[in-house]
Amino acid sequence: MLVGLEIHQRLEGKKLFNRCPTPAADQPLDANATKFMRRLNTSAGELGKQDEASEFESMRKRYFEYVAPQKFSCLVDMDEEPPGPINNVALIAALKFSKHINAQIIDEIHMMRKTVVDGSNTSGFQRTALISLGGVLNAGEMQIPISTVCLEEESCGIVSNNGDAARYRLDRLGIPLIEVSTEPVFTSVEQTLHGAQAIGMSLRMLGNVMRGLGTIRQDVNISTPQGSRVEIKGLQDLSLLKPLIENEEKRQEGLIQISAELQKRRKAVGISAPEKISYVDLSPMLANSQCQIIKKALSSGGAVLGAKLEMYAGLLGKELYANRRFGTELSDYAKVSGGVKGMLHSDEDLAKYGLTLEEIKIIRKTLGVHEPDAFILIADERQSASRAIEGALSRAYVLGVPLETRRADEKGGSSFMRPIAGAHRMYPETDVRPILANKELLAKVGKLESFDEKKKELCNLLGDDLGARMAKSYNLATFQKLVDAGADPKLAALTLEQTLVALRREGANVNSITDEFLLELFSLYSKEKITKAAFSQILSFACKNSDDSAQKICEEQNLYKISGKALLDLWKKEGTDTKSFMAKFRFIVDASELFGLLNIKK
Amino acid sequence: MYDKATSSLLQTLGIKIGDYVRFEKKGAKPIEGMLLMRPESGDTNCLVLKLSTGYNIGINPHEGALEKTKSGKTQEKIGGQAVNMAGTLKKDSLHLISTGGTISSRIDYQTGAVHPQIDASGLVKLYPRLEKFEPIFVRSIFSVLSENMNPTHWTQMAQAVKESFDDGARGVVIAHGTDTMGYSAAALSYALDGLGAPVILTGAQRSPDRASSDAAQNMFCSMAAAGANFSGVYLCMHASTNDDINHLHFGTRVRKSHTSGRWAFKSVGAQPAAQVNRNAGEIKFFSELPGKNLQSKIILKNKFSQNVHLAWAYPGISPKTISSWSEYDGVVVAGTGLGHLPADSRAKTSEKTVLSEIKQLVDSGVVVAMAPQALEGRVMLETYSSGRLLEDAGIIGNGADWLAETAYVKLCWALGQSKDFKKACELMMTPMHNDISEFSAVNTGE
Repeated sequence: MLVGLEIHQRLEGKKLFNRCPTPAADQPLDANATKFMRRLNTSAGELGKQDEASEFESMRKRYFEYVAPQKFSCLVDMDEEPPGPINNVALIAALKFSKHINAQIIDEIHMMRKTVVDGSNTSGFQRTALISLGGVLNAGEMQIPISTVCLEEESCGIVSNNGDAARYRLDRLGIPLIEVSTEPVFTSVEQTLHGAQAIGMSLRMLGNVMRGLGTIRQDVNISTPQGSRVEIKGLQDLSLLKPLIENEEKRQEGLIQISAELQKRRKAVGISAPEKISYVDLSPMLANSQCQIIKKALSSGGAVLGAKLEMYAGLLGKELYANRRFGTELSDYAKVSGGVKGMLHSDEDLAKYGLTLEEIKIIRKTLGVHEPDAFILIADERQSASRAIEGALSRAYVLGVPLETRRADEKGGSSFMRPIAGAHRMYPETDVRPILANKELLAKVGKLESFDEKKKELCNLLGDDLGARMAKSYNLATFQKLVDAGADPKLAALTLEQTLVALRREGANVNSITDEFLLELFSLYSKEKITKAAFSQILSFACKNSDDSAQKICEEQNLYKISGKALLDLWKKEGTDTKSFMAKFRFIVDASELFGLLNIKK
Repeated sequence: MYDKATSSLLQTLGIKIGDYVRFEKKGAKPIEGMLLMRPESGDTNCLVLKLSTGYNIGINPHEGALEKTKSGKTQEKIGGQAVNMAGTLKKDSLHLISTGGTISSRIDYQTGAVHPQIDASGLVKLYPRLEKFEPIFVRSIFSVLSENMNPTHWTQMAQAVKESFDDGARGVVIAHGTDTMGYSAAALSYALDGLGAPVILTGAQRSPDRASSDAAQNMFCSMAAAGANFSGVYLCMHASTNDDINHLHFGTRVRKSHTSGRWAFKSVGAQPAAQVNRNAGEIKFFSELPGKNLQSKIILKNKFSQNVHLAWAYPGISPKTISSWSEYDGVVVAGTGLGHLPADSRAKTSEKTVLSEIKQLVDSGVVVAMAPQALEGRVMLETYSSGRLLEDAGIIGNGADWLAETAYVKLCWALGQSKDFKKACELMMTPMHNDISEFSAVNTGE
């Protein structure tokens, strides 16, 4: 087994081809957002051939609804205005990473359109450009060979999906993504995990990467010796990498065994694989069925379609990995091709769906199903059902492991998404001029610090524990900003990695704390306007009122530090013993100052 | 096009467009790909290669070693000849006349930009839903982006429409660039006297090479309209950003009101004539339209003057500018407010003024017509003194609520019909094809 990784990292700032700000990962969807509706047609690729993946999608008659928050989307995102010039900050970030891994930067960068017709791009394509080829990322003892670095646009976020329609949010569309693809070099789960983390950490050194769930995404491609190359998309949680790889290995092994068994059976009776797809309308003989699925389809004018799978008895029920059988694989194709809810097959307990023995007998007889055969049933609106059963049958007849793009689920499994995309999916983005990566541009690209260098530097500055933690933290860029503005490094690190973490655990909305707020907070501290102890109080109020400045919070909540004569006056009035005094005024009194004053007094 | 040094390098190495090549820079992994034509823009030193992944990249062949690995097929030219015909010329067909523009555009490898290349027969193949309207007879009469059109194109289009109806068409759709489609719609409205069936102009704001193109729906709705039971020249485009409804606009009442949106075309100073649903193609009329009469014979009035000017009034416009218009046979002025140019009666009589120059133009036989530069509303020359002075100087247009573009097209047409000053003025002021309304419809401004 060989595993390769494609890491997609979102960059924050502005979108790739317009000047909209990028939304936060957990940006709530604005209730007043504009809505609009679109459809997509297919079109021939640059070489005149249609990509199989996009043709497959277009079989589905779907429409798409988009929700467009005003603040984070514009006419370019709506596919109503041509793209503007490329976001130079994002371009430089991609070049910087390429330089870091010593890759061969493309002399002249050509923006491409990658056909995507599932509605996740309003235009029907994703803009993407190859920035560099080759290179090696040094990650401790591991040398990770990188095949490509691309710069591309993020797709829309999906809100809901059913057979006929999908709803997407437009704010996510167009966020710059750096895509780093490795060669298929990982031979174990542990290695792959290490590789994914190393690439993620290294990208984080760029500084302008986004943080939060979904802002870094791993696609995994897995190939097994007898199987084929399968791409699995949308893995958001690295902890699922282990079951994902293990399950895929099992799935491919299982599919190979099933194919071998099928070929053996066919050979034994001297039949060959079916040449064309055929199925039968079973609606008339099941008109009175009490099976809910069938009843529902027929009562709304739909149909029940059935097909025989000769010599497939027992194969559909064969488990590939937990909760996934060969039948599930066929069902995926039915769902994707026809937008149906599911498929029934003869290796299941059909009685549990309400089919009687008598009905099953009729079905078997009509389809000509004998002992060694299996059958599948689909009940839905007629056109959807025919497309679905054609999809399922065409999958059933494929031997071995088909080349597929699959979608990772939350349990470490995956389901079929579309056939693997080919080169015909790409054609030039004519609205954007090619970009020359000349000396002038490359001179603007600075050096990216390696993760190990950075970690070493931070450990020297903050001690080993805090240093290592800061190096891996998403707050690294903020930390850097605070230190550059003159903040005490240790206090800055503790505030980011302890105070804010503690507040988040208490349920405070720490995401609403901006870098600007933290800069103001540290500036108040350096001007001796507030105490260290007041930080968590001020931050806690800021989580509740994200629009307030630190100054406003200090004024309203009486959190300005008291010192000098005012402190002495307070001591005279309230002080009995230092312990209870400090307990009462810990947010606004600096203990060392108090002791200093009292010692002098004594 | 590659530059001289690069072309000669390719020639020396025996590499042609479409061949597979290997390129190796010192110290880097070799790159393999297929050689493409290069877009005009960018560094012409760079070769454009298509990698097996589908990505295009530009490499500088002078900074490494280039060799041919495999001969390839030369890329087939996409698109057809400028003039061709497809389908069967049956009676009662719908006719599609392609003139160019985004709706028939594809990527052009010469420039890397979008260019009109798809011919009419390609269009129907692109949109299988058009089968519903067969038989469709298709032909391309020219292939130009509409910004490059002039009145001679209007003449040819009108001629082509007449030929279609003479050949038994029951309706005509014209695929057109969107930049000046409104002008062409107005021109055809005037040129096709006696038209007894629908002539529908349509286009695309997104080119058909992308899945999101509005061309499919615009084409479908236009075909549906062309087959329906009414007559006249209309423009049919998306009603909004949504892929659901198209509007039919009167040819004299429509303006491109947005540079890029699907909804760019809006009826101005009038309601759209109808809407067409993209699902089944059913039409909902907003007003009573002239009925269909396929027996009606078109009398071509497709001569247009090519010597008319469309001018914009602005603060500071000088008498010198006005006098420079004397080289034209006619001028339409998009005036400020109710239809004004600066016309101050207090100026000394010896001085050259805008007003004196206008008077001189008119006296020399140039037809000068006023239109509003405001989007909507009527030219009212009798309200203010400036207007009265302009009217006295011989400017026509008082009372017309026409679009400035329509007035321009109409003047081209009127002067094409008659060189006689009086006759041309008369034609101009005769309301036709909804260009001038009798009274202004109730409007609350909401």
